[in-house]
Amino acid sequence: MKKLFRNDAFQFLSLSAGVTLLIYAADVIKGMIVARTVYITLFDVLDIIVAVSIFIGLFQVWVKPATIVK
Amino acid sequence: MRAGLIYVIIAFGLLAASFLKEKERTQEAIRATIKILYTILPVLIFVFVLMGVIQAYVSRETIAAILGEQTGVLGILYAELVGSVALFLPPAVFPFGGYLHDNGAAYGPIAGFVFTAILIGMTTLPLEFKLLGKRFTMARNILTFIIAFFLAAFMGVVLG
Repeated sequence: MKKLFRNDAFQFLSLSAGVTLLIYAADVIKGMIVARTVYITLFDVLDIIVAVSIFIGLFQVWVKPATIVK
Repeated sequence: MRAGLIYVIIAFGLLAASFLKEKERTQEAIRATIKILYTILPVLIFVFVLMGVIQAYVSRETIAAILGEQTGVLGILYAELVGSVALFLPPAVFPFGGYLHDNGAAYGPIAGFVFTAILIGMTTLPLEFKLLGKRFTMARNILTFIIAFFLAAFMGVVLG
């Protein structure tokens, strides 16, 4: 459990959910604006993020440091 | 066709080619990809939440007043300062920059923000000190801030 709380991904996701829910509790419309912004922006850039991650993954295994140094 | 879709097609095409050439290396590449996504996505989501909070609580007029066309040099300086301390990974900088632009920020301040968010790391200073030394770190960050200012101002003039 301690390991989970120290995990960066868990911290960022918890913070994101916490902030969104807090705002939603204070003002439903503003909470929906926050959620909508996250949804739209995430799905707008997700394809490029996945593609770039694949490029980097392939680069890491196919291009060795020695080649870069050369 | 969306640019993102083209990138995805190319990425999966390369992955397929890699798989045909060497299965084990491709599996290693997929594991590396998952690790990268695991690192990036939570931070990105958090940045998008921040964007949503700004969208909900800060009016377009306020953003334009601080970072708009008429703010000139000050707008660029404000944007650079925000970029310097922002805890943004590079993939998050551009969506945030796009959001600022859609909400009234001018190109000069956006360029200043992007340059400093990517190139300057106030929060990573201790690590940079440790790995590259104090002199290099101070010189790099200060020079970057100054050069970024002139580049951003030039971009503001060129892009209007």
